[in-house]
Parts: sequence; C-alpha cells; structure tokens
Amino acid sequence: MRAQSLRNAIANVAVGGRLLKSGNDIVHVNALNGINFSLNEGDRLGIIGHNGAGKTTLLKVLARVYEPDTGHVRIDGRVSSMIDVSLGVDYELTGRENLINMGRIRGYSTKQILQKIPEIVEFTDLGQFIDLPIKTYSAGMVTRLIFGVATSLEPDILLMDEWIGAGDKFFVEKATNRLNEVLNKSRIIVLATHSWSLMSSLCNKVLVLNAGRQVFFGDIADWDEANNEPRSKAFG
Amino acid sequence: MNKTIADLIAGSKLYPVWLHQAYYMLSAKYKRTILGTIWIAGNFIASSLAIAVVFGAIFNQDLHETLPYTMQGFLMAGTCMWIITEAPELYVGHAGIIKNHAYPFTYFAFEGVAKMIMLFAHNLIVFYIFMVAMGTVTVPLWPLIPGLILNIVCMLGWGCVVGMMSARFRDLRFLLPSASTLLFFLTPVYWRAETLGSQRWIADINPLYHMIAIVREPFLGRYPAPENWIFVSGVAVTGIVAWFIAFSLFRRRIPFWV
Repeated sequence: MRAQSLRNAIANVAVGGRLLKSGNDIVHVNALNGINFSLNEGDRLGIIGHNGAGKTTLLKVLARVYEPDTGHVRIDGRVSSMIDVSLGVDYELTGRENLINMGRIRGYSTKQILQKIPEIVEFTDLGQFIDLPIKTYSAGMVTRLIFGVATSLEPDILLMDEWIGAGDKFFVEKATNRLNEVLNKSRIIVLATHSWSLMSSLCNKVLVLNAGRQVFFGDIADWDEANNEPRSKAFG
Repeated sequence: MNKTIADLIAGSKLYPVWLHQAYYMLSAKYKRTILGTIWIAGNFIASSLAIAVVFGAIFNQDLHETLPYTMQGFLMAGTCMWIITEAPELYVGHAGIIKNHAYPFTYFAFEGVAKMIMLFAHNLIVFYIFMVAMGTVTVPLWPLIPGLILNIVCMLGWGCVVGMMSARFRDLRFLLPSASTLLFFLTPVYWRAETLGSQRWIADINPLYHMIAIVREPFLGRYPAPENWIFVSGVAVTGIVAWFIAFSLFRRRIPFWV
C-alpha cells in the first residue's frame, strides 16, 4: 500500500516514480486468487479458512462491494449482506424511528417498513422501550433491535460473516428460531465461519480457503475436516 | 464504461433513500432543541444581520441594494462551495457503508447535493422574510431554473471527482476546505466585481463567481450575463467528463481507498 499523500505522489512524479516504486513501501495484498464456484437455488454454502484466508473478502466480492481485478462475478437476485448489520443506527432516535430509518437506508419504502414494524416490535420484546431513544437501551436491547431489522429482510441471497448471536439466554432461542426462518426463506445462503459444527448442521456445500486460494469446493460430505483434505480425489 | 453509467442509473433510482437521508442528515442534529430545524437557518440569519449592521449601519450603504445581493451571494456561495468544503468527505465520511454495502457510488453525491439544495430552499425562506421586511421583494426570472440545474450538475460531477481524489490523496481533505476560505474572499460575494476596475479578470476567471451569478441575478430580477452561462456550462461539461473518466478508471478502487 502506497502512502496516501499528495507529497509522495508528487515526489513520485519528481523522481520518475523510481523512489517509491523501487522501494519496499508498496505492498500489494493479493487477497483472493483462483476462486471458481457456482451456486444454485437452495444451496447453502459454508466458507471456512484460517484468519486472513479471505473469507470476508470473498463475501464482500459476493456483496459486490469489491469488484474482482480479473474474472467476473454473476449474481441473480437481491443480495442481503449481514456483514454489517448495524447500518443506519442512530442512538438519538427512538427504537421505532430507528426501525424506519434502518429500513429506509436498506431501500425499503416507509409503507413496507410500517407493515413490518408490529412484527419486529413484537419479536424484539422491547415493550415500551421501543418509543424511547435507543441510547437509553442496554447493549443487549440494541442488539435485539438490530437483529430484528436484519432478520426481517427477505433476501434472495443471504451473506453472513459468522453467526450473529443476540441477547440473553431467553432471547437466544428466539433469535435462533428466527434466523432459521430467514435462512429457510432465502434461496441461497453463504456463511463464513470457523465453526465446523455450525457449518455441518446448516450447509450442503463447502468452500475451503487457504491464503486466498480455493483449496476445495464441493459437497460438504466430500470434505474431510478432521484431516483437512478432500475425501474424494475427484474434487481435489 | 457501461458500469459507470449503470452506477449513475442505480444511484438516481435510489432517490427515495437519498432524499430521506439528506433530510434526515439535515434535521437529526437538531433533535430535542426547542426551535428544531429552524436552527438550520441560524447561521444564515446571523450572517445576514451582520451584513445589515456592517454595511448598513457602519458603512452607511444602501441596504436595499446591498442586502439582497449579499444574502443571495452567501446563499449560493455556501451551496456551490460544497464541492470543496464537504465533497472531500463524500467517500471517506461514508467508509463504513462503502466497505460493507454495495451502494452505487453516485448515491453519496446525490445525497450530499440533495442536502445542499434542501438547505438552500430552507434558507430561501429566510431570504424572503428579510426581503419583505426591507420592502425589496423582486419576482425571480426564469433563468433561475436552468441556472440551478447547471449548478447541480457541476456539484454532482465535480463532487464525485473531488470525493474520489480526497479518498486517494488524504491531504486534499484538509487542503480543499482550507482553500475554500481563500476562494470565498476572492469571489464577489459581498463585494462587486466592478469595484476591481482594471483587475476585474480576477472575478471573471473565477468559476465560483459565475456559478453564484447565474442564480443570484435572476433572484434579483436581472438576467445573467452570457459569460455566466458559458462559464457554468463549461464547469458542468468538464465536471461530467472528469466524473466519467475518474469513475470508469477508478470507481472500483474506492472501497480500498476509504
């Protein structure tokens, strides 16, 4: 990464680009390489890999935040990214106003949101707190509110970076049920996680990343997690 | 190349979102104040009163001439200078959204410009309250509309370019807002281009002067000069070209820069 300053850019021009280009201060990060897979309706893909393997980057490519330098991505349908669920939260506004705001910023009309509000309010169990500014909420209550909005979207393709947990022990069960509901409604799910048990209970396909390279893609049954290798050489 | 156009179309289609967000950004910080959104005009009222006191009471100028001219000048200068005062934060300021959600990059420019136009409209009410009080109400002329539209095009085009450049070259974030003060005083906002005499070229080559004049003159009941049209159209066209080139080449780099 080159220092983002005008001075360096001018210095670069002044010395014909040699100073910085021949120096060691430009580090290119090749985040992903040789990724090739396709998913069809009903597929639940789990992405696994070490820290820095490129899981989140790949999700962001799917979310169309990053465009690939080479190759192309084709996506049909509305993508909902749960990478950053707290988009549009304002602590000065009441819970109800936040629901409207968060919906608006996600591209829903006020009418659509107003229809969903009773359901979300009921789900979050916030009671009268829903009409108080959310800066009066406890952290768990804010999480519930955000979780309620995030899971009331009806996406075609759902991207999740790690499982989002929410609230106290009474709420966790409710949250899990609701998330399962959303998962069932989504046509395609892509989940990046470290938890193999979660993945094996949820996904039918697996993509293994190692240092930005695709090690394996295929049915989850064909990947041997314990030995970290494909079961069938055909997929290797 | 067609992705640049697709970005523009997607951005403009999000108009319910950016109109709402623009209004929200304007009004949110006045929550729980007694006067609420009237505070948006607070700064403008203060500057207008300052003009009235300084030019009217101290310099004994004819406020019937000076006040409408200067108030409109402040109004338009504040709007147009968005390109260098706030546009440098266009992408850096929205880093959180850009890194996680695939918003079209033109969306942020639409949002920012919509905010400035709402601010302008809001302050226009203050302008007319002052005009009624002074008894100097004039009916605006039609060139106001194309003039405003041209200014909006300038702001959208150059706003995106400045936003991208400031995301890439972080010094511009601080350089441009500082330079805006210099530009403000070099522009005939509260003084007149005629007073420069032989050095009038300083005003005539200043695009901001023409951007202000093209809207201010119709508001004061006069037609803008032909060179106003030429300059502002020039700024708009070069803005579109610069936007197109910058977006085609580097738009997809923005998430990495912010």
